[in-house]
Amino acid sequence: MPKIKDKLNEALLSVLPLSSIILIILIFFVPVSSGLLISFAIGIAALIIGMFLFTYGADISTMPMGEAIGSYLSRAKKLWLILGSGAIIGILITVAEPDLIVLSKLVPNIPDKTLIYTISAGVGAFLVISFLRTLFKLSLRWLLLGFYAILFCIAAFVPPNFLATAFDSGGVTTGPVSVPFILAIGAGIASVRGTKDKGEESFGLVALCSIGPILSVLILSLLFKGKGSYSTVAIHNISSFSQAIGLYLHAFADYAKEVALALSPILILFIIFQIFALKLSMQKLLSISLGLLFTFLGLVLFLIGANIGFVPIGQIIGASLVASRLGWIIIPLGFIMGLVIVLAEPAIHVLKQEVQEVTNGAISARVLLISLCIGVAISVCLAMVRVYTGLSLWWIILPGYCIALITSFFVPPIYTAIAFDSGGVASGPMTSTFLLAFALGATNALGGNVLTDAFGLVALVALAPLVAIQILGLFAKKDAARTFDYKDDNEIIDYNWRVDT
Amino acid sequence: MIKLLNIIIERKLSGEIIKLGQKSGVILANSTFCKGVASSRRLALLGLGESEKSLIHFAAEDSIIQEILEVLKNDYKIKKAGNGIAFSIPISSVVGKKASEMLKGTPKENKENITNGSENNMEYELIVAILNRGYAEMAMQAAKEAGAKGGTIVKALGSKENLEAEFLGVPIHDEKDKLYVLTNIENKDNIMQAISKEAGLSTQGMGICYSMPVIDVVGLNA
Repeated sequence: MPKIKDKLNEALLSVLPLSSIILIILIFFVPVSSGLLISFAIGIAALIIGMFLFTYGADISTMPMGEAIGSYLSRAKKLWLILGSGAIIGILITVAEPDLIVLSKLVPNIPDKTLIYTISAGVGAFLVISFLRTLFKLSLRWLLLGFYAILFCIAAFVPPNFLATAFDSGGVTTGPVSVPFILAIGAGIASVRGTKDKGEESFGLVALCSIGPILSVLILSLLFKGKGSYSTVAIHNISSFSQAIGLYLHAFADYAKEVALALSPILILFIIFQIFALKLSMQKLLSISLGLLFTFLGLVLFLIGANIGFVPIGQIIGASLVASRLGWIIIPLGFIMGLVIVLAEPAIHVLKQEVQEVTNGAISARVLLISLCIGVAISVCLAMVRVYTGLSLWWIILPGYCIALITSFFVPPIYTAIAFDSGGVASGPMTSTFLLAFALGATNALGGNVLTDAFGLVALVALAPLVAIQILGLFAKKDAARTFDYKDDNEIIDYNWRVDT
Repeated sequence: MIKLLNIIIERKLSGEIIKLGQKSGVILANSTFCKGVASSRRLALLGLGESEKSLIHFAAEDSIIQEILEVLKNDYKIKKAGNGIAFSIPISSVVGKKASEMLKGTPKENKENITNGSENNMEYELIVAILNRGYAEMAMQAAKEAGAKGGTIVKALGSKENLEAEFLGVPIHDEKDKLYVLTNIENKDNIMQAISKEAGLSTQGMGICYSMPVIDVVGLNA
């Protein structure tokens, strides 16, 4: 069964690099209690199994579901149906996103419910916009330029405590459940359209959808002005193996509920489409249900591993490293962890698969991953500079987006679409748990302002791919329209192959 | 003799194989992603019945094709089951001298033309089925039960004749699957009937199934 072997390999290769770096730090620089080490080891195992089940499950459930719905919408040829579905899909998959509930707790002064519904409406609106962009062949680079211009204009009036959280929200809400689904819908819609721009039409949906949450939070923070505060989560003291296991089992129920909630809208949407339109075969349905079960289990394991196993370690490492004499060490360390952390984001593997399929291998998965790794490494490094020095987020994010948006005018459109999609993909659960905990731990130990210094990390990780992948596009060969000058070369040449044999 | 060599091989190897072709003198080379299916119903349910493959096309003079086939047999062990298959279809004519040059490729000069180095006996056939998207897997299972060893699915789009299929100025296609099954002549009729029964024109699969003669078959354990 080569497929199982491949997926298992992929899971090992994505989790082990980060885990080994952390282990080295734990052994040589930051000694922790054996209980925490045990818990971390269980976390690694949970992450590997979770990653394996998730990518395998997404392959046979979320992806085919999204593609089937997308291609149906395209073939149905009804504008109201497409746009209506866009709004509903966008709102439903965001409302249930587990990360959004966490985010709502972090954003101060804005009532949780108000925030969740506004962000969901934002994603719904932008999914509609991205459908309109495909149907009316609007230029993605101009759309992005326009919306980010609006975004930065509003951001200029927002208190600094909200700025980081707002830009983080874009990366946070496009999570491991919604991203594969939106990617698949995009590919499905484009797949049946007879245009020569099929590649670029397949991508760019996640890109636009990431703008929705940022815009929503920015607008809300103008309405609910306030100072904001944040308190770190307490670290459980683990002293024995059985206690560690107990902690995991206890968390299982909570995360199972969260993930089930996040997956349910996709399932409900699919059932509605299946009954009224898709009518897939029984066998396909069985395989999809099995895949959903895998996705569910995989995601639960992954989130538990990240939150229980990795988060406490992240906080402790961050805090004790800055407390040591070589506090600046977190900056190069950020670079090293950044190099490998993107590999451990589950949705990355879905994106790379999709890019490979849509471009028929023209953009190879390996090159894509390498440029993502380098990009995120630089981002995390910058984020650590911010943690250490308290540099304003503006100094990085404004030039960063300017470069990304300007570059979009010099690269083939498909690279812009994939790059801006990757922004939402790269900033997944691993960044918003482990890496954020690391930054929080360090900021607290340094006595900095968590809301301005530590937050903004997700935003920076989401920014990196925009530049990194577009740089890839600069190197891509442009196919010039070549013609040969053989005007009268019209004679039929018969090879007489029957005579030959 | 000019032939179109079809190679279906593990996707990871496709880059290497294309380089091999170009080194041997092939000018017209291209590849498409496809799925290999050798599925029993149970494996298909688990989504395990398929593997990622590439379908590579080389058009070239027979001597070049034979050279490539030798390398495939020796270095890539394509004769062993599961390592991929290759077969050729004769090209009968082309329009234009320039195009003809490109089709022929650039055979190595010092090498004497191997004539009839291949067994050009037509004991194998390629079955092609064009079906609605999603029915190729089912058709393949039926084919397998009728004696087929394995098959390959390529995603395809169908075009309609009427212009109603346009939406906002963009043609909207039907989604189709192309299923390729290579078989020896004895099993051919059974397999084709099985495919037609499972997913033919009278079913939702709306499949059309035809066969054609192929030569230079490598990799099919028979």
